[in-house]
Amino acid sequence: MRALFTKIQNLELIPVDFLLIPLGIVFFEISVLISDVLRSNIGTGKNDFLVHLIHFLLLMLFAYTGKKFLESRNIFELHLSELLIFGIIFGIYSEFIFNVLNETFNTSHERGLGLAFRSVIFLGIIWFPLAVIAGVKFRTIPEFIYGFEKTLLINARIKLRESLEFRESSKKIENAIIEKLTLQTDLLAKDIASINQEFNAPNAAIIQQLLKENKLRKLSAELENAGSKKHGNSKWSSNLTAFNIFVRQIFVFLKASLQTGEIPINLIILLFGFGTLPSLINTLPISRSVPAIIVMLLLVYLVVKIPIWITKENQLPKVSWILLSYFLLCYIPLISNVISQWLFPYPGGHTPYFITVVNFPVLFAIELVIAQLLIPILSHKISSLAYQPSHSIIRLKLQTIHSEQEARLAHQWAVFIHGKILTRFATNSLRIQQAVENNDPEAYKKLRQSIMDLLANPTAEFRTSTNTLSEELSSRIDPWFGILEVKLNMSPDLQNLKNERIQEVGEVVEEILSNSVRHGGATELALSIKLAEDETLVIEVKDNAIVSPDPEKNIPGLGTKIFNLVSDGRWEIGRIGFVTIFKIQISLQSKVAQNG
Amino acid sequence: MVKKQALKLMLVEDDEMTRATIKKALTLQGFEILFDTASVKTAIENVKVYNPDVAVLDYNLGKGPNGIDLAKKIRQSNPGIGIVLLTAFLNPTQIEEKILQLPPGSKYLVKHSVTKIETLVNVINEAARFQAN
Repeated sequence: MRALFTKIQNLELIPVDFLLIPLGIVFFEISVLISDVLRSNIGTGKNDFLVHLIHFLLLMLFAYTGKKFLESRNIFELHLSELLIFGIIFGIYSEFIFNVLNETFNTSHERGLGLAFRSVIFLGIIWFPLAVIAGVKFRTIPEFIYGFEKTLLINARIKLRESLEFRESSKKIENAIIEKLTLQTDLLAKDIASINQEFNAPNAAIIQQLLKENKLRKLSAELENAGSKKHGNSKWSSNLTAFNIFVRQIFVFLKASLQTGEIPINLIILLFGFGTLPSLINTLPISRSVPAIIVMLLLVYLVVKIPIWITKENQLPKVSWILLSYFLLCYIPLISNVISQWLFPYPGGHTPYFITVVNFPVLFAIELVIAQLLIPILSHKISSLAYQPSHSIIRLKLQTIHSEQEARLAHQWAVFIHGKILTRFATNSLRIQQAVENNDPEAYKKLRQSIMDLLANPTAEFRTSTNTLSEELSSRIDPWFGILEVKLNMSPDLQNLKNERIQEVGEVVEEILSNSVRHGGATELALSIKLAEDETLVIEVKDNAIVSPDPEKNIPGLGTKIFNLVSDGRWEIGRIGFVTIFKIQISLQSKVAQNG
Repeated sequence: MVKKQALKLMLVEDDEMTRATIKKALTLQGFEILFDTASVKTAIENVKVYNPDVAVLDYNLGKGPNGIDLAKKIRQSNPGIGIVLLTAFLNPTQIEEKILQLPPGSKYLVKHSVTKIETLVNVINEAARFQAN
């Protein structure tokens, strides 16, 4: 008793949120409208609809005004007594305008004082406070959807990155680039081969001209543009994407929820009761309705428990069994209705078939689905199965990572073409000029051969061999000496780490360092690298950048694409005081993440 | 008659063959190459010691900083130094944004236009005027 008292005392100051009020008003209005239409003569249905429409709008206006009133006074919590007063005012207001509207539109519903009193009590003391209190909890749902979407996309990225499909598509992208490159080098080689081998100034000039005006420059420019293409998303578009991803995942989420987060039996009984008891009590006398209620609730209990009983220990219940049990639950009132009338006929005691065949099953099924979706979210018990991305999400993400990989490879090849091949062309062109000026046919011959060798195998110097982590990091960090002071903190056991993803780690570190200098103006940077238990490399960076990163204005460029691709989307950037903090996780093994 | 003193240069280029070619050509043109290197680190260390008139820098220096990062740094330590950036890009618009980041008075030259060394010589002389001003 004391515990209960303490609980009530603790509850006294209650956070309030009007999030659910509009939805609640809609449901409330529809349910009252249906009962009013059923009670009315057919001809008055139109007026009933008008009354409820206006009533709905006026209730919404009341709720909106109340919300604004509290916000203007920075009130986000209310004492229980204040909330109840607020609720009762809401109930009286609702009842008052409902009566005025009924009189105005001549709907002539005989409500009476008793019904009005019950309505005020129901709306003011139960419905309104519960909706306002529950709103706080439901406020976490959008946050959950964001987090859920993020984890889903991470898992989709991991699955895709490790898939044969992605490897093949990467190979295809690279092969297409190589094909374009070799097409141009072959053409150039053919052109040079067609020039008379005799050493003279006109022949040398033709070769110089060919080296200067070939289509490799255009190819390099095209690849560079493809790599640095930027695209941004608005806040609205991000919201829409998050919701879209959640909707695409609903069936997977429901399946996972059905297997591991079953709806508590007391909630099922409550939902069932809300749907059946009023019509049962209205239709049958107590002598028949009470046994019917007992039998039906017993049936509900059995139907819910059977799938759990027949499931072997340490096994998840079969979704098909659970769905079958939900289907049976929906039709218990019908079955009960038919059997009881067959066993104990009672003239006029039928529950209308429309209600038991269509109305109740559909509404109850919707309630079950909503409960099944909300229970794991509100109780923070999301099954890891729910984080397995659906096929449609994987397909959706395939396009994204395909374009990221395309940009990454295009940039690498563009740098290689203009940094290596075109530079060699320029150098050889200069040397040919010198050979002509020095009248050196031997040098000319060697240069011509050197150009032909380069054109015969233009990709020879593209790939570098895989290093240890320590060597890879040194190759990325050391060149920055004098421009950026990098303090590296890495556990000794990682020094000799070799993995097929080491080069990607190097690319990430390269991007981090260049971004710190070029976009942040940093001169000092601390780089910490750790290996987490799940074989994920965690890189944390702190620098003294003078320009603060602005995530709102962050348009994904090549760096963002590389971070997304390599970390499967697991990176974040922030600013604390004068320090920019960046964190990225790179998986070194095949494993699907459990949560965000 | 006072003999005009040769301009003193530093050369940073990661491709060894290109570096050797440019070095030889510029020496023949009467420039004094104080040092040449592929390493940004060596360039930063040496620029203070040798104090060259002009730095000839490749834009693409492989892993790590690019020619613009290096240009900014050496202009910081040697405010009077002239800078020439060599690039293999197709045209200036392709690196327009990057060029804007170059220190004032810097010159750039697309590599394929250096089929005759005189082109580079002219640009180096132009860059050296930054020091004179």
